[in-house]
Amino acid sequence: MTDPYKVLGVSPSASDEEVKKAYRELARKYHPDHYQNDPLSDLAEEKMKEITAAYDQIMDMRRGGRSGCSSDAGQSQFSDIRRMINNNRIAEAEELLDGVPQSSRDAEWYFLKGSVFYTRGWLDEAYRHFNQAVQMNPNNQEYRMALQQMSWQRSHGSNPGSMPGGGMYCSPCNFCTSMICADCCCHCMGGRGCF
Amino acid sequence: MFGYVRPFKPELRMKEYEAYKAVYCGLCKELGRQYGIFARFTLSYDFTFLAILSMAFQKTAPDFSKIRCLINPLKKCSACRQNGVTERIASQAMITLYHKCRDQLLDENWLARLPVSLSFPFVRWCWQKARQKEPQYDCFAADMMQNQQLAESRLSGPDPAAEPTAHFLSQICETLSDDPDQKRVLARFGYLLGRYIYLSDALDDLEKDAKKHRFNPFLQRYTVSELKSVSYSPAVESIHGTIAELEKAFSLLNLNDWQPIAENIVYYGLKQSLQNILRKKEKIE
Repeated sequence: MTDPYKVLGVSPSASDEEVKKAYRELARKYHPDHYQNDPLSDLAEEKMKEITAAYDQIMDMRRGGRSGCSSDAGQSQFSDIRRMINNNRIAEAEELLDGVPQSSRDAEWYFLKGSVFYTRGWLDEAYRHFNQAVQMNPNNQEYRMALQQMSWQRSHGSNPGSMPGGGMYCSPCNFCTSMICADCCCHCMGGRGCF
Repeated sequence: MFGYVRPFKPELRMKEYEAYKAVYCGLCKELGRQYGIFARFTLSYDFTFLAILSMAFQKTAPDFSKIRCLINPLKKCSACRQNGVTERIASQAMITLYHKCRDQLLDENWLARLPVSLSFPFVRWCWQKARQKEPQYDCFAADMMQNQQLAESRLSGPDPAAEPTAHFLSQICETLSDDPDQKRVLARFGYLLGRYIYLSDALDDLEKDAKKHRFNPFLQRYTVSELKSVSYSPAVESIHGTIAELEKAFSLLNLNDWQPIAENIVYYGLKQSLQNILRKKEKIE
């Protein structure tokens, strides 16, 4: 395996701050947003993965070397997990999240766990966790946005402003159209729609 | 699959309705050709949608022809078929039917399973024929049934209980395109579609499951009367949330000529099916 310090272009004696800074600069350079519709976007993505893996490896090595700094490590562990989720490394992120003891599960933990569920398509659990995150930290804009979006979806069955034709069609709940539909369901397919 | 994925006819244009009906008729005819006349009566709307989704990713246009309908032989109707797709979906429908029947044989009491028992030898014969053509699909379906039993034995809530069906459809949809990006979108779309079908069926069967003491994901935390008193909102919200996410994945799919019909099904049909389930419950009261 290649040397993670080489990948990030820093010396092994660099401080955590310096490693983080190098990582951020490279990540910005290879960010997928820069490569949208670019024929080389897959290569940029590869590069991005390599950088993230190197950064995670360095941070893991350094954290393993230290002992007895639980609260601090808890915080930085969450930012790593956040990055993993952003890079679609869901299984790893979930494993780390589940390893966090109950006592240190704060609003951020619930938000990240909710994000993992959301990515997997476990929408009920995602909603429950976002809700808990907002309850624990009502001032966080990001948590509130996530919860609001899901609340809208759960009550409307759609996303704000997503209907084709910009709302020209009438609602399928409309009584008259429903009657037509009930009628058509009976005869259009010979009345044998399901098993 | 259970027939919850269907178009909302008042919003379909005539040409879209004709095309949808032609796919249905084409599939029905193909079932008859491969598996005999009785197989034709097992066709569901869900597989018609799957056929449309499959056709949308083919590089050639499908063939339309006139056929005589079994129900009304005097009238000719259009049938749409596409080499490779129509045969495949017909076989997949038979495999699904077999696994569903097998599940019912384990489940129900003696009298309730009588019709299934009587038709089972025929269904089994169809399955043996179909699985040779679609071995991978049969593996996926068998896995799904096994995981479903496991999830039920653990008395899971909606998320884990819907997982086997959702994962199954995710695998099936993912194979429809060769494009890696569309594959990713299809995998999520299929997952959410499977989740929608499973949760809709669970809501539909709520009372029946409670009466027969069968597993139902929505009855793990609430009773039927509790759910009824809040207009089934925990279940309706789960299904609404699923439809909304499904729409987001759908808007990243490129379905060419089939886009308008698929849009009708995704944006209106799914919600209409949910309304139909709820209306049926009101009538029972």
